Amino acid sequence: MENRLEALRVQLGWTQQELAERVGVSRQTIISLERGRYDPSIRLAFKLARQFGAKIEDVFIYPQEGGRDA
Amino acid sequence: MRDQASWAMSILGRGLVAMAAGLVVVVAVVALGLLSRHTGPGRLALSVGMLQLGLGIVRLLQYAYIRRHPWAGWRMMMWERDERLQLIRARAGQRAFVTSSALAITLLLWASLASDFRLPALSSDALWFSLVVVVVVPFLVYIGSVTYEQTFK
Repeated sequence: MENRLEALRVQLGWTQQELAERVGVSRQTIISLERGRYDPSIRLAFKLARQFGAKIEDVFIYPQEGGRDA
Repeated sequence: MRDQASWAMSILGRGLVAMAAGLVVVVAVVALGLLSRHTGPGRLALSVGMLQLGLGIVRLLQYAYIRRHPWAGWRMMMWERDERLQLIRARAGQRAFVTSSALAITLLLWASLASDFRLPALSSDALWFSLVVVVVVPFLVYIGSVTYEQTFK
């Protein structure tokens, strides 16, 4: 899943370690999230969105399903 | 901080239980050895007891370290509870279990067919090596799986 984690984190001037500590995960998890290799649980997604003061859909971009109406 | 305190207490609890269990086994084996000439699997039980004792001591040392270095303790707690790591460990455990089952079933089938002379019987050496494979290979699968997923996923 695509996301804007890195952009939002850099905007706030946080390191990956700082963000990891704020949401209670390891730095490796933040790295994997930013690279799109790992999709967070709903709880972690909410925690991240709350840290950025944004909605989940503004942080994580759910891909449109091809051939279906919205 | 309350969360970290309860986590630290759980480590202390696990350590004390392991130490108590280990101590009971060691004392029981030593006492039986002194009372009776026949020790049976005494050495094996003693090893298990000492291992439990050792694990308990490690837990107590870990607890003492966490108390003196709260920040390091918080990081240890995060590593233990990290959701991605938990998922990686669960998947690795599943793969190790499947590997272990496949190897054990293969060994059982071989032994069954060997009793009917449809396959050559396993010598005691071959049986020992086969059992080593059944025990060691799943560990390697577990470690390899965790390492691979930690690095590439």
